[in-house]
Amino acid sequence: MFSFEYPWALALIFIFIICDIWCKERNDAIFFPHVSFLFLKKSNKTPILNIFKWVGISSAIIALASPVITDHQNFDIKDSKDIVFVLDAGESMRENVIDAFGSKQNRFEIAKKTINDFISKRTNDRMGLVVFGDTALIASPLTFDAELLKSILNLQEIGEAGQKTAINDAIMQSYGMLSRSDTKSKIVILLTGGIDNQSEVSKDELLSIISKYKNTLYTIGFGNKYDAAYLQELAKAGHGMAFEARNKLMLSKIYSEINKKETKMLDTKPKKHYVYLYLYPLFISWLSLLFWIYFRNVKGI
Amino acid sequence: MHLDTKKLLLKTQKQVYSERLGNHISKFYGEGFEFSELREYEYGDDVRRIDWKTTAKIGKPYVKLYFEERELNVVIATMMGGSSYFGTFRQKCDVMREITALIGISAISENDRFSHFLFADKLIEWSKPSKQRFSLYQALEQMNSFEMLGKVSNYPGMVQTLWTYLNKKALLYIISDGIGDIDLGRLSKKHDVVLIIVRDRFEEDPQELGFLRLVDMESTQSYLGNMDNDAVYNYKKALAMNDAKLIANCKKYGIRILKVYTHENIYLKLLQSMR
Repeated sequence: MFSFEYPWALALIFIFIICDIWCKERNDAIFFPHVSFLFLKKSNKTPILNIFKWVGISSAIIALASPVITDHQNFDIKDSKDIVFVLDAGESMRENVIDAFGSKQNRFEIAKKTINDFISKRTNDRMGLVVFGDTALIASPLTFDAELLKSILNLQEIGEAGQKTAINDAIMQSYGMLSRSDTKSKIVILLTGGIDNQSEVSKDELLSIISKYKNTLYTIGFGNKYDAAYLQELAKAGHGMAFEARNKLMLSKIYSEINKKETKMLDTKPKKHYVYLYLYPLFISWLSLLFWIYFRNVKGI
Repeated sequence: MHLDTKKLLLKTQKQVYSERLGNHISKFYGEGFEFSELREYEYGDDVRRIDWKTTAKIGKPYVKLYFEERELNVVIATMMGGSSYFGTFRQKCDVMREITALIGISAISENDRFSHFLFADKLIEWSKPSKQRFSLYQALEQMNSFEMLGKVSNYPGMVQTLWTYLNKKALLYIISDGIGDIDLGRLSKKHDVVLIIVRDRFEEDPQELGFLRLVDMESTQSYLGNMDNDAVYNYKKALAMNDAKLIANCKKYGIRILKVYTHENIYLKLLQSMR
């Protein structure tokens, strides 16, 4: 975004305009007869000196006002978080949900859509996606490219990792992914619609690992077939919270709550990145003032 | 003024003599010394003018006719606008004063009536016709003390004033720098007008001065600009146009023009032109 750092400096131009009218420079003058009769009528005044003078003055003032291009989007890597979405792609997500308007949609589509919206809200984070069924698969590693992640997310289908539900494996997979990153704040958001029935990792093992790491684990149970107590236990061990969602609206509320919570923890203001442009008007100003002096003196007496 | 101003004879081409007797030979017949012709005596001629020698030779009465010698009305009108405060060798106004003095002394020494008008934006001073030297000195003193800066040359006003003030025919010398809207046609109908243009060499042929402020002495307007080749060329072009117009006007009405530069010997120049 283009703006001036000190826009009030532009008002200085009025001083020059006022001075040009009221306090003219005094230079050598000679008496010459019939200037108004013979000279002013015929000679076409060359405005080139005036043009150089005013271009020089105005661009110098513009340079003083310091035009900048401000970039709000530019992130600082220190403030970013790592977020892993752990998405259930088992058969339990196939169940349809009827929303307030009466249209049917299966849970998986709803979950995809909600996560999609969530990704759009996060601007400064690295995000990854783990999909699980019988096994847990890394659909996308941690990336800053939100658009890529969205397109990967949209490609996911039910049953691509098997019919069953391996929550523990998926969490282990995501923790493994996060352990390789140096980011301070790491978040895992688990969304499931079923009960673990396939994992190779046992519950106790998982709990001990989760509590060892400082990662935050949010668990969301979607629908009515999940084990709420188990999810709560996991969330407690993972320093996070457990949520329960019945329909699309609730789910999106949960995600926005998580978004809010994680944004609040970000204590830093959005950093502005300035690109200073004063050099260009300053260059023009120098050039035209140089030309002004040149034309005045070379053609002078 | 130790020049032999008696050599400077004011002559006129038109019959602008006054009714009084003087030193100038007019075309009127009358008592004088300049012989004109011999004519057969007619009834009513003065018998005293019969030339007895011719009458005796031819056997018929003949009269000898002489041109009458009349007095001349010399009027000098000086246009001393602000632009006369200029000169690289001498000031134009000084030259104007010298011309006035030369013509005035010449007129007085010829026993002619001399009067002087000083103009700028309006009629500044004027003197009644006089044969006294004192009158000329007074006129010169007035010219000397006149502050011309900021006064615009008003030629139409000058013509109008001279038209109303000069009742009798006169030999009228108009001294000016000849730049402006000058039309002396009206005056030339009645008077014998001689236009003396006083110019400076630099005024007619200016050099490139570069970037500076020029101040007009008449309007006190200033012009800030680059006086380069182009500007000089335009200036000269405008001046040439002005001069061509003036000369055409003077030719049309039979007005004599004399151009005097500030660096010239004014006495010699006048002498040459009046020979």
